[in-house]
Amino acid sequence: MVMKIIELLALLSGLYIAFVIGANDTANALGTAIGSKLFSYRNLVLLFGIFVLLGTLNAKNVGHTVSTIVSGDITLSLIIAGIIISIITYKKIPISTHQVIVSALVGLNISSADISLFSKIIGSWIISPILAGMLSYSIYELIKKFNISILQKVQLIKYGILLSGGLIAYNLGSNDLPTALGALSNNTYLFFVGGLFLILGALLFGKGVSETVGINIVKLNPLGAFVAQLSAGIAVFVFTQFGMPVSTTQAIIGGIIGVGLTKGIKTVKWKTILYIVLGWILAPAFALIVGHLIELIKNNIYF
Amino acid sequence: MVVFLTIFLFKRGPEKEIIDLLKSHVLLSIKGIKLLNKYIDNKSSEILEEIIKIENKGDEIKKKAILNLYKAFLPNMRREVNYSIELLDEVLDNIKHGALIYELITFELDNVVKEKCKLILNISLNILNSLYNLICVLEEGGDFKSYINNIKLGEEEIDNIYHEICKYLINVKINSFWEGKYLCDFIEKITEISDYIEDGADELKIIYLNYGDEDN
Repeated sequence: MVMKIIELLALLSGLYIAFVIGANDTANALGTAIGSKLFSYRNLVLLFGIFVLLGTLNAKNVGHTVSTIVSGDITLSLIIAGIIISIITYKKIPISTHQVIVSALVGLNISSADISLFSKIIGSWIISPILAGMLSYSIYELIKKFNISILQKVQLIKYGILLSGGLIAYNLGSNDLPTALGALSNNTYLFFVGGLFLILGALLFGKGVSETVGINIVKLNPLGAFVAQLSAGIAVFVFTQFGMPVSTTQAIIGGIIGVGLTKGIKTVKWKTILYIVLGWILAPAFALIVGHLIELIKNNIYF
Repeated sequence: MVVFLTIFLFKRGPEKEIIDLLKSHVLLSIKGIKLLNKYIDNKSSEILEEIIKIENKGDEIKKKAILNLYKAFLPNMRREVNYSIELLDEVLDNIKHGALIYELITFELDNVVKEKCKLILNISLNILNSLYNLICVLEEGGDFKSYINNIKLGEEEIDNIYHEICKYLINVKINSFWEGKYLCDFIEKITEISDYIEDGADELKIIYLNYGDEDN
């Protein structure tokens, strides 16, 4: 009975995280499309939902990684991750839910964790924004070389943001969802149910965040925003095939830097980048330390 | 992938329609200025009627373009496109009002003033052609700066001519208040044409700066 309650708690925490991802990360997928005001939110969420559910069909790669990284207590890890994610969402701190979940899982089960795999995941966290940056730099330069007219650029942006938004939504289903739920079970049906919770989160709370992010992004540079989003989508898609849980938010930041670099190194605010990167280092470190401290306290109570 | 790119890069729909409307509006203005230039030499009621007709056609084009704007371009471009349409319409308005005021002038225009007015209209014609090419750049790509530059230089030149006329008019004998008022109003109307062209071009320039190739 106690085991059943613990399992249920773990499941609820996982689904809750999926719901929060839907509320918070919809902006990554739909922000630019919403900002462009070309499509209704209902239609966009419908498209978003289809791609998220399609993504869950390819969720087993990342699910396998997350399910094999630890073999100990996952319930407490997911509850802690859920609490931390709620706080960072409430405080609007731009750090990755992937890092929090994976670090909380490893921190709480450090003695049984596969440190070699964890090192590979950390490597992916470093490489994925760099890959997105390189891609966005190359794509942006390529578009410039084609010397396409403004009217053609408008068409490219109008339809391109649907393509890149769909790709990011697909990544949410194939990478973000199994990161949140993979530790519970690497089961497609579970990911599908998680996908429904993610869509619910997007429907109930995703609009506000997406509008704020999207309108501001589109106001800045619509073509740059599209290229950054597309590059991030491709980068995350590549890492998903290798089963690596990587963050779309981090990849998008890499993509934005790549676009910025096409206009010269001086256009990038390196001080801001430094703060963001510092957040990327501190957030998983914090989750690891907190997780490990809780593990120590828990072990002392048991023994 | 090539098919996908072809469809999205070359299917232009509502944007193309608005660009075409903008181009036909500019062509009407070009026609209007040519007619006004003729009207200065030959006060024929047919020319005046033609100018009024052109202005009405321009109004229709403006309405159509503004109505179509809801489904064209990206939302943050629409403000500039809308302004440019409104400003282009002011060009035609000024041509019509210039012609109507000129009709009220019953005395023979001083030769120097007449020639300078015709020069203003010719420069306006030249910068309208640049504006037309500017709109083509939005559609087809190419060098934007040279056309903007030409418009700016033309507008400056017209400003200088306007001041020359003002200086000259101080010594011209005017018989009545209304003679003077109509003459000044006419000169102002034709001078303002270039201001509206420049303002319209500036709106298009904002679009170009946001979406164009910064290396161009």
